Amino acid sequence: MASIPLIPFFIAVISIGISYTTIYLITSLGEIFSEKAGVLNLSLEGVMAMGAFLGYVFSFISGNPYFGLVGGLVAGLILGLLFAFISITIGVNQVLAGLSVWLVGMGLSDFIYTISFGRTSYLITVPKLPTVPVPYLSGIPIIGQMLFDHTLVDYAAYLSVPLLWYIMFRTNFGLKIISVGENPRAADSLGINVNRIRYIMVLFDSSMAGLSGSMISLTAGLYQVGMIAGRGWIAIGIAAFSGLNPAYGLLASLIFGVVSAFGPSLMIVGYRIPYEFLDMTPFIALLVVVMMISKRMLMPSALGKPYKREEK
Amino acid sequence: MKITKENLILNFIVYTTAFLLAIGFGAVLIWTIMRINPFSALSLIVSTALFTPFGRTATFYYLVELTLISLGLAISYRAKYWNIGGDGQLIFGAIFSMQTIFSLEHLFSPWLVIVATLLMGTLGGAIYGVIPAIIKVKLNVNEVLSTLMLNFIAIYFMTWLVDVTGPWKDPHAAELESYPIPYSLYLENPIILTLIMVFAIAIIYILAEKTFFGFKIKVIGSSHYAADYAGIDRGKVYIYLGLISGALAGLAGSIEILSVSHILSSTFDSLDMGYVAIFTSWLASLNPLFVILSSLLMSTLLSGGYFMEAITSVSVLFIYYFEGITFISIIIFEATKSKIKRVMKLG
Repeated sequence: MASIPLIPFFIAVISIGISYTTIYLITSLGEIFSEKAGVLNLSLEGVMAMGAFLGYVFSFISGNPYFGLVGGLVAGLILGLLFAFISITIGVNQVLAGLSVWLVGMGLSDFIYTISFGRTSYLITVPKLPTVPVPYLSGIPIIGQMLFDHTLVDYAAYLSVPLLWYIMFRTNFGLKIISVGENPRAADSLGINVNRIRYIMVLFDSSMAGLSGSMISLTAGLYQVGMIAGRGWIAIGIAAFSGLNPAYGLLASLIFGVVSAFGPSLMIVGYRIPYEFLDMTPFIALLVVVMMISKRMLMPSALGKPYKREEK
Repeated sequence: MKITKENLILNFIVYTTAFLLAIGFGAVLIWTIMRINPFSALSLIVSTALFTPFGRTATFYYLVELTLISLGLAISYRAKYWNIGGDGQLIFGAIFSMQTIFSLEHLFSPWLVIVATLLMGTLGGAIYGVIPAIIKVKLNVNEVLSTLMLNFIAIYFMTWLVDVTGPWKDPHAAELESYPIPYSLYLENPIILTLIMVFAIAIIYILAEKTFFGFKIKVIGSSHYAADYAGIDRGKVYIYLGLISGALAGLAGSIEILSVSHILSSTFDSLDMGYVAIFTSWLASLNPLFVILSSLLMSTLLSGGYFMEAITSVSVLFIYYFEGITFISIIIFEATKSKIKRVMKLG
């Protein structure tokens, strides 16, 4: 076996890892807020597929990748509304509701893509989301290239973590979210509109998933069937891993981002080992992590339970 | 759910409506994007799937596999044990079957090898299905996450087995394929497959409706508290359910190898049978006897969809979207059933 060229490998792992991390981070931040309010949203994989597709379409039509991001948000909002209606207003079991919306998102995006774009023998590419080097900082050798040469969404995602942490743990609104997740009846008696809070959180969650989905297609500049490849599910696992704390969410996303970047980075430096095992690593890692923490995990006590005012 | 005349009529109306709704949505989509007459597309699907010899064979095999997987899922979902790892369990059943064939094919007579293969496939699926149940019981891991992770792991593992560097890659094949199984091991006798299917339906029906175990499943499904209060060991039931649903999916994987594909390839299970089965089990309202009907419906759509894809390039992916819409209509109905009944009584 040839030895791995360490420095290029390290650079590749960090810079690819950061793009992976962004996708995990955006999605899992949404899920953290949604679960904190007591709604387990399992539709993220499908929402991300739809976001990736609409992002691709919007970018294709307008020629502007930033408009593609709007497409991702729109996809997330639509599917989020669907999920919220089924699970909150009607009160269907949240696991079932999540699975059904996942199927709709996955099927719809791949189906429309295949019948509208996929009938040519070549891939139709769209404008990619440009990277924006941070002035001065990106000039630092090695580190500059690794950390300060990413898209605007990447920077925004990392900067939003303290803000979201502050909202959740230091504001009145955050307290409302937590109380709705812990004891909706008590929250209701204090005049908090439980289902409105849950709606807002689900819409936030799904639109974040749509946004990260559109990041996947827009950084690649194309759409492929089955493009999300389980990243939505990993994000749900990361949310559980973080104990529903945005700060730990960042840490968990970083770990999984770097783990997921091993495969592509080894390929970039030209090191041949079966890529299937590398692609498998994040899933195995997640399984192991979830096995280690699940016993001690403290989840909101009303997680997964629809709230109906008239029922005791 | 008790089967009364009123229930049956109500269910029939709602399920048909859900179905037509989904077909309608799909038809609008096909027409707006592709300008293909959706009704001719639909009749093409049904006629090729049921009235051509090729289509009929494909439909039959899909029917057997879907029924087997959905049976296991149906009783799991009755206990609210959310096994969505049908795919991984099917793939592991197939991998175990291939290994059995490769090691036994020259040693015993073909029939013995076929029986051993079916048994080993069942075992493989059961092993892969019981892992999430065990870690749910012992470590409190959410089974939705664990079964999904195991699905992805199984798919990558299978791809490695038949990849260029993998141990089973057939060097003469252009695609990522394993060595084919010998012709003498093809299991294409429809009577045997039908018997297997009917046998499985009977067993699961009796298990779910006529035994104490089935009663425990129902109690757990209606309320955890009631189950704990009645002294039912939930963990044990989950583990049995993991074993049963995994075994049935593994058996389906074995049949896929012996009867349909005859090889393991990177496109094995490209239809995601495990996910389709989630839907068919709900379409059957988790009743083991109705599973065969919902599976027949989906297998018709799947095999006809493949032919349609070849002729009109309407993708077979349409199926997933269609599933989702029907699924949503059905679960909304299930959740609001009591209200609907109240309204019907008033009216």
